[in-house]
Amino acid sequence: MKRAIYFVLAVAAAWACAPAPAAAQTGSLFIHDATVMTATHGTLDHTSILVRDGKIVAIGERLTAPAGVPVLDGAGKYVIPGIIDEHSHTMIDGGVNEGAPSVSAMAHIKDVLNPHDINLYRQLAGGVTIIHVLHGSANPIGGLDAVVRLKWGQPIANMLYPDAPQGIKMALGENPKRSNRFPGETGPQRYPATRQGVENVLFTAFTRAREYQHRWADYRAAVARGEHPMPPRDNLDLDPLVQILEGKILIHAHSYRNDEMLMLLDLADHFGFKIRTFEHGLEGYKIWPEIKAHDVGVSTFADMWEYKNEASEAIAYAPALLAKKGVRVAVNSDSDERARRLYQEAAKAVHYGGATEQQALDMITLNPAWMLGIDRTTGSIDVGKDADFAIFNGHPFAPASHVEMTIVDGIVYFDRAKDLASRHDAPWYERNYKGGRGFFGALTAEGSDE
Amino acid sequence: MRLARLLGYFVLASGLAALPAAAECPAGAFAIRGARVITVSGPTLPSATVVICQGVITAVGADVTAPPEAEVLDGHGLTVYPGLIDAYSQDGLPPAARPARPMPAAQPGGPQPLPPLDAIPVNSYRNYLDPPPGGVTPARRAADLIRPLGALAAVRATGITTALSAPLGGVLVGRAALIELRGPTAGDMIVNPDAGLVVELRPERGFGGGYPSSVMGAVAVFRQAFLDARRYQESEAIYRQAGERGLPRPVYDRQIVSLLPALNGQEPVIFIANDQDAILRALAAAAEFHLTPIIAGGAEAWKQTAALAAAHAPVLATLQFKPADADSLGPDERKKEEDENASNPAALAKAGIPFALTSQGLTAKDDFFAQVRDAMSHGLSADDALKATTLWPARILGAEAQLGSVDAGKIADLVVATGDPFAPAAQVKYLFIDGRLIFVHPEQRPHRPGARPGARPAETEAGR
Amino acid sequence: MRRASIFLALAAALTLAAGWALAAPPAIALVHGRIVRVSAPAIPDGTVLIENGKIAAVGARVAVPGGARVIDVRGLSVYPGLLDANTTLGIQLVPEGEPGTMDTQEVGDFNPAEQAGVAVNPWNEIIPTVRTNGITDALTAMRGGIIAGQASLIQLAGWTSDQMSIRRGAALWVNFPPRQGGGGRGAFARLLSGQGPPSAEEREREYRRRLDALRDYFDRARLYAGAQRTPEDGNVELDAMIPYVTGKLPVVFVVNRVDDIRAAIQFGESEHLHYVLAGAKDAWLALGLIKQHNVPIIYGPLTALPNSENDPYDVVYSTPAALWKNGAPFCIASGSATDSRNLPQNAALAEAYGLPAEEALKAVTLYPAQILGVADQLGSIDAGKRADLFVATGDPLDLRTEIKYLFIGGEQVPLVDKGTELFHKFMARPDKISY
Repeated sequence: MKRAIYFVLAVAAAWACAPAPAAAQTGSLFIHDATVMTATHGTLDHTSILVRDGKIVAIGERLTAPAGVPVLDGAGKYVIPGIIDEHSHTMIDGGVNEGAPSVSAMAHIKDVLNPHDINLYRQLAGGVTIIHVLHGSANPIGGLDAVVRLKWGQPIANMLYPDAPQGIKMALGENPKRSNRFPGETGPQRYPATRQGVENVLFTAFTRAREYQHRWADYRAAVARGEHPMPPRDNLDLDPLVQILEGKILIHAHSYRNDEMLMLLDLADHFGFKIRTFEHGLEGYKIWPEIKAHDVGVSTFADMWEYKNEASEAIAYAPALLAKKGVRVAVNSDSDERARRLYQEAAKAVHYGGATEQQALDMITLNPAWMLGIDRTTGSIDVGKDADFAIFNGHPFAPASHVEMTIVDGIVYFDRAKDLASRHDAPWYERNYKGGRGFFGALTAEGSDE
Repeated sequence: MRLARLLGYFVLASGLAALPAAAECPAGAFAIRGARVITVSGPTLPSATVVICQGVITAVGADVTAPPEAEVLDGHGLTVYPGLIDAYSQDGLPPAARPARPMPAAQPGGPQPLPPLDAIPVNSYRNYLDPPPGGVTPARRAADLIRPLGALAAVRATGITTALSAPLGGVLVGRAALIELRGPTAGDMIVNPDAGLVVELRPERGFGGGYPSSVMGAVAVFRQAFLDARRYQESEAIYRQAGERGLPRPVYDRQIVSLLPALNGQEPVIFIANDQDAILRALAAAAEFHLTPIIAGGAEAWKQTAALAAAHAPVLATLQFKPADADSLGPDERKKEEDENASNPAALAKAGIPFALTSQGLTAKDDFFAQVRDAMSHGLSADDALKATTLWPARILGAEAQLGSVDAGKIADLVVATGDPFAPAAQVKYLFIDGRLIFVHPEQRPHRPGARPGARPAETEAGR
Repeated sequence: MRRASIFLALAAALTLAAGWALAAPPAIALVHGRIVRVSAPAIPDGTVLIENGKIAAVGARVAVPGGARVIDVRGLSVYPGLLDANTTLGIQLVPEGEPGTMDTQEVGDFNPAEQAGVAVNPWNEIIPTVRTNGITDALTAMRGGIIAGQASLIQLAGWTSDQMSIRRGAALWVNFPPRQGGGGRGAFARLLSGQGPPSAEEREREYRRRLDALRDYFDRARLYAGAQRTPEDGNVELDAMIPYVTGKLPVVFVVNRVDDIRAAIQFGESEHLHYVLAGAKDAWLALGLIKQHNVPIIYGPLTALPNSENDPYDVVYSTPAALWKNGAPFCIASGSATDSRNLPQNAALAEAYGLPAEEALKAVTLYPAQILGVADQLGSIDAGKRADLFVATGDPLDLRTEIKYLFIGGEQVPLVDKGTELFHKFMARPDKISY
C-alpha cells in the first residue's frame, strides 16, 4: 500500500503541470486521438480532449496539444467519463452503521472517512473516480453521507467533492427490521420489527422535527426582535430532519419491495419533501409509473437476486426496463469487490432487456451524477466539466477490456503500466519469484515458491 | 586576647564558608553528595551535591555543601536524575469497573412468566429519537478515585515517581490527575487533580452494544455533548444577565458542566488515538470546538507529524510496539510493523513534535523499561529518552515549574542509581518523592550519622 | 380377406411409425452457423446434427436426415454449453430461509454419503436464469463441515432430478481445514457466548485436530476398502468413500490461502488420491508445486478481492493466465448458484487480464469437462458428445451477446425464466400512476 502511494505521487509529479507537484490538486493534459464516449452527445471517433487545471476545455478531432501539457496517446483506446459508484461503503472506519437508535441522523460519514483504504486504489484500477459513501441500512433513518473523489494519496479534505449537496440514508424493509437484536444482548429489542413500525418511526421523527423547527424559528424571531431568550437545545439528530423538510438534503432510501417504496413516496408527499433515489429499489420495475411521476432515481444492482426474501422478485431486466420507461437508473456496487468492475455490470443491461449501449453507459456516469446533485459539473465528457476519465484498451463492454488509466481532476491517479512496472521493484516480489522473473514471465520447473 | 580574636575570625570565616549551604532546614533535609547529576535542563554535572529541604530541591552544584542537619547520602559512583514521569497510565486507580457482556439467558422448558411492562413503551420516540448515549462520564475524576495501592511500590523501585493517571472506558472518559506515586493518603498524591479531559472517539462496544455503537456515533456523542456545554454556558450567562428571574433556569447536568474548562481552553483534552486516521479525527474534533488537544497513544503519529505540528498537539506516545492485528500477520510483516512502531519515538524527536514515553497500551508496567530500550535501539537517543520521561511530560502537562529536572525550586523527585537511567544493569539505590526518601535498596547502607546498621529510614512508605 | 389384411398391414405400419415417432424425438439440424467446436478450429459455415440426445455429426457438409427439424442459424454462432464446475445449483434458494428449508449444509463434519444431486429440484427458480446465459451443465456440491458430501454432475434441464443427473457421485467435496481458522459454526457460537476470537495457539490446536481427523477418516476408509467384509460389517458412510480413497474418482479440496494449498497438495500426495483443488485464490503463490504434481485447479470465482492488501490489484483476475502458462490443468467456475449465470463474466475477466480468448472459452467448456473426467461427453462440439449447446449472436463471453437457442440433452430449452416473465409483465403495465 505504501508502495502504491509512492508510485502514485511519482505519477502525479510526472503528469501534473503545477510547479509544486506534491501540492497540485488539478492537472492539465491532452488525450490524443481516442474513441470518446461522451455520455451526452454520443461516441466520437478519433477525438482529442484538452484539459486545463482539472477542467475539460476542448473536445474535437483537430485539436493540437499546447506546449508544456503532457500528452497521452489515445490511439485504439476508449475514453469514458469517470465511473461514479452511487452506493459505496468503502473507506469507512469503525462501523458502517450507527445502528443502536432507530434514527441516527446525527452520525456523519464525513467523520469516519479513511483515505488509506486500499480499496480506493483497487476501484481506481476499475475506472471509478467518484464514490458516494453511505451509512448502512440498520435503521429507518441513518446518517449523513459523503461524496468522495478517489484522489488516492491525498488527505480527506482534498477528496471531498466540493459543494456536493448533502445527502442522508434511509432504509426500509428487512435490514432495519432485523437490526434490532444482537447476540448476547438482553433487554427490549430495538423498535421497529415490522414495516408498519418503520413507517411509524419515519412519521414520528418528521412530526418531532416539525415541532423542533418551529421552536427554533420562534427563538430566532425573538432574537431578531432584540430579546434574550434561552436557546433551545441543538439536537444533532433533528437538525438534518429539519433540513429535509426544507428541501436541502437529498434522500437516498434503501428499499426493496414495491409497497414500501410507495409508502415512502406517500409519506414524503405528506410532509412535503422529495426522495432523490431508491437505493437498490429491486422491485422498482413494478411501480415505474409512480417512480417516474415522482422523479425519483433508482440506483440498483445489475443482476443480484434471491439472497434475501425481499430480493426474490428482483430481476436482471430491471435496469433495462426502467431505462426504457424513462426512469433515471444507475448501477451501483454496494461492495468493494463489485465496484472494481462496474463497467461490466452496466453492460449487463444490454444483455438483459436490450438497453442501448448509451443507456448502459449513463447508468455509471450521468445518472449517478444527477442522483448526487453534481451533474452540472461531472458525469459526462463536455467542455467545462471536471476532467475525470477512465481510459480502456478497448470498448468497456467487450470481454478483453480493462482499464489502463484513471484520471481525476486532470491528474493520472492510476496507470496500469506503471503499476505493472512497480511490481518488479517491490522487495515483496522477490520473496515469491526467484531469478528476477516478472509476474508474467516464463516459469521453470524449479517453481516460484518453495 | 589575640587568641580570642583569632578564634573569632575563625568562627566568622567558617560561618561565612557555611553560607553557600542552605539556610537551616526545619525538617526533612537530605544531601546527596558527590554524585553524577543529570539535571536534564542543563549540562550533566560529573560530581555534585543535591540538597533537599521540605520536599523541594534547594541547591544543586559542584560547590554546594550539605547543611549540618541534613541526612547525608554518599553519592560517589552513583547517578542522580529526575524521577521519571509516566505521562499516561491508570496508576492508583482501582481496576476499571466495566460491566461484563451479558450472557444470553438460559431457556428452561416449561411456561415462562409474562415479561414486565416496559417503563417507556419501546415504540415511544423517547426510546429511539435522541437516545441517551452511553460513555458520557467526563465528571468522573481520577483524583476522586485514586488510592495509594500496594502495587505502586514495585513501580517506584524502577525509578518512576510520578504519573498521569487517567480513567478508562467511554467516549468522554473523565478527568486525568497528575499524581506522585506515594502515600500514605490519596491527598498526598495529587499534584494536579484536573490535568486534562480524556476522550476516546470509539464506541465501548460494537454493533449491538447500545448507543454509540460505531465511531461515527462516538463522534456524534462528542459533538452533541460539547454543543450542550456551549448552550449551557450561554444559558447561564443569559440567566445571570436577567438577574436570575423571569426566565426558566438552566438545567444543571454535572457531566455537561464538567466539560466547561475544556471548552474554554482552560484544560487540555487528551484524545486516545493510535492509528493515523484516529489521530486526524481527534485533531479535527478538537479544532471544531477550539480545544487544546494532546494525543495519547499515537502509535502512528510518525505518519502525521505535519498535522500534529500544525495543531500544536503533543503526543503521550505509547510504548506498545506490537501491532494490533499481530495474530493475523505473517512473521515478516509483523516484524516490519513492530520495527516501524518502535521507531515512532525517534521519528517524533526528529520531526520536533513534543512527546513523552508512556505506558499507554502496555499490559504490564514492568515492560516500560524494556520498551524504552527498544525505542532507543530504533533510533531514539539516550538523551531524548530521558527527556521524554522527565522534562517533556512535565512541560506537556503544564507542570514544568514543579517537575521534570534537577533544579533548585522544583519538587524533589529524584532517582539515585548505579548507572545510566535506562541501562539494563543499573539499580535504583535511593528514590525520593516529594523530598521523602521513599525507597532504599535493601543492600544499601546509607552513610548517616547515628544510623543503626540495617535500619531502614523512618520515612520509607510502601503504601501500606 | 384382402381388405382386412391391407387394413391390418396399414394399422401395423402406422403403429410402427407412431411408435417409432414416440420413441425418439426428431433430429435437429443447425445449419449455416459458425460452429465454434472448442476442441478444433471453428467452422465458418457448418452444420451440427443432433440426434437421440447426442451430437450425431458436425462439419462443413453434413447430411441432414429427412424429417429432421432444420434451424437456419446463419449470422449466428454455435457453442458447446458452458460447464460450471463449482456451484450449488438446484439445491440452493434464498440462503436465509427458515431452518429446514436449506439443503446446502448438513450437520456434522463428515458426510461422504450425502450426494448433492439427490435433492436437486428441477423447478428451482435459479436454474432457468443460469441457462439463459449458456450454462448447460454444472457440478453442484454441498457446503459446510469438512467432508461436505459428494458433488453431482447435472444437466440443467429435465422433468425429474434423475433425468438431470449425469453422474450422482462425481467428486468428493472436502473443505480442507484452513490454517488461519475462522468461520463456520464454531466461530458464531463463540460470538454468541461473548468469548473473544481464538488466540493463535488455540487456532493452531484446532487446525491440527481437524487435519488429523480428516487424515484418520481417509485412513479408516482405506482400511475398510481393502478389508474382507461381511454384509453385517457394511458401513454406508465408508462405502461411499471407497471410489475416492482408492483414487478412482476425484477428491476436491476447497482451499483459499497458500498455506492451505500446500497442505492440501501434501495431503493428497501422501494419501495417494486423485485430487483437485477448488477456489485456490492464492494459486499464483504455489505455481511450482502445482506444476510439479500436475494438480488440476477449479479456479474461481474471479469476482473476488485479493487476499492481502499488498497483493497486486488484479491478481485474482490474472491468475488464470498464470495457471495456463504454468501448464497444469485448470478451469474457471463461479462457486455460487445465483452467480453461476455470471460464469461467462468470470471468463471475460480472465481474458481481460492475460488469458487468450480461446483459452478463456475452454476454461468454461472443455477444461472443466476434462478435470471432471467427462470429456468424452461434454465440453466441445464433437460427434458422440452430449448435445448440450447453444446458438448466440456472438462471443458468449461478451456481456452484450444474446443467446437465441439452447439445447440440453438434445432438446431445445425455452429461454424463459422468472426474470423474463416479470420483465414482460411490467413492460406491459400502462404508464398511469395508480393510487
